[in-house]
Amino acid sequence: MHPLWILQQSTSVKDYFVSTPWAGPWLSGPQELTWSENQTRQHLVPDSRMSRSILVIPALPFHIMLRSHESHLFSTAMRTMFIFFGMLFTLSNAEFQVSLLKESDGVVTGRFADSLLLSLPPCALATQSVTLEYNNTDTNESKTLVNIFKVLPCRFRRDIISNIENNGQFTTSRNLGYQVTNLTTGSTYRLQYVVGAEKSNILEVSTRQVKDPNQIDSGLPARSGAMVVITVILSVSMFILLVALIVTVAHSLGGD
Amino acid sequence: MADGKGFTCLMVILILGNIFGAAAGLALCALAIWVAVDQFKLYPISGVSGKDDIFAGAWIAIFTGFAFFCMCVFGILAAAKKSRALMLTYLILMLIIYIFECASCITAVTHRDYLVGNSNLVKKQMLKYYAADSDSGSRITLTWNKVMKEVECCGTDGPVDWIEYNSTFREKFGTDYPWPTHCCKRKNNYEVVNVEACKNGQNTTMFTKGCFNHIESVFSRYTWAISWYGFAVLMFMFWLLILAMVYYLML
Repeated sequence: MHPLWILQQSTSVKDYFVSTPWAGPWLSGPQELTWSENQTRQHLVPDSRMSRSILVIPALPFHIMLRSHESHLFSTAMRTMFIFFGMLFTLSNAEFQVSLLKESDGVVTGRFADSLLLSLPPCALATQSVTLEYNNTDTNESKTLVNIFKVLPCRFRRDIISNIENNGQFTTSRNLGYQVTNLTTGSTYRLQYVVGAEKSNILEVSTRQVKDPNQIDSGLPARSGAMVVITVILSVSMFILLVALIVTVAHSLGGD
Repeated sequence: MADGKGFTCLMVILILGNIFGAAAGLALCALAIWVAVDQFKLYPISGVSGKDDIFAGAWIAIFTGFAFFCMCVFGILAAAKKSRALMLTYLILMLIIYIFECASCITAVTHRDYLVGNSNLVKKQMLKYYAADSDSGSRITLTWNKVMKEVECCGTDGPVDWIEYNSTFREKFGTDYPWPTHCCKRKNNYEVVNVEACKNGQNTTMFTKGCFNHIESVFSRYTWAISWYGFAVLMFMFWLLILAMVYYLML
């Protein structure tokens, strides 16, 4: 069963735009859409030019049931329900997410000693310019970087960093994240993007604390099994041979 | 003692054992030469740390291996001639060579434990000596550059070592380059593919695995050649010497 649904309703004339999988390898032969107004039935058989989706049907003030050979259309009651849920979903995501880049994003690490790699704002906010506000929680200094870049438009793949690979024939650029520089080592920062009217969540991270290499304990970690076996067995055998040689020489001298 | 069938049998066994021992000793000599040549050129890592007895053991094994070969040939002669004096000489000299070879095996395996038991010593040495302005520094730098380029690795356990710890490299060159450019992938003409991407740490433009696995496997390979093979030769020689002592008593 293939779903039909109403795409939108125009305001002037009550038309229904219906999405249907008219053209598809899984549907064999020409499909026919039928709908009934009150008691009469009407048909529409698409020609080959109607490859997919848009179909305009004049609507009536009454409830209409649209049915194709292969599918049913959801009633208007269900349609309003879907629109309502759709609105709920978009409202809850008004604040977008920012995070540190991780190994799965294609970098070694997101935390350096004096800089951090942040993810980009979502591409839905494309072409708006981005401001970054951060403050150092230890010294309580705030900094705002205004209009650092414009949010990049969505592409077929949304991930990736500013990396231009040029092999002489074509160039691909990828955009992964934003690097916040000139930070102090080992301090905690709170960062937040502001894009137009939207703000991101506040990300609390700390830069790496650089350790002293002289603190690394480079003494003998442990004696391996091989070392113990070789040492013990060889020492014992050396001792046995020495004793045996002395006994042999003494015996032969004593025997003479 | 009586010159019976058992006596002849023992003489034959002794001669055959000495032939085999001569071959084993020569093989030990050859293997030790391979270790001393150090095809992977990792000697500076052990040399600068002072724990270079894997190679000292290799040098000892070159001489003891050849000495075993010579003594076993002499032993064939002594057994065939049925001479007491020659057999006694054989026994005493073999024991001296035996003790030296034991020393070689034990010290090689002990120093291997110091060097590559865990990655701490190698890491500390890398952080301290890479890009340092001294003779040790230049040897370590050249060794690490070679390893990073050939094995395609960066740092001891990973590139994070360079940013986790302070190092001579960082003090010299600042934090603009978090790790040496030898960690970056290069084209066939040795030009770095993408310096900015390498500085950011992008996986596709730099090497992200650590070099310690390679260093540890090379040192282990050298050590097993010297200490385990030396141990095997010594175990064989032990029984040969016991038999030789019995033969001497029967002479």
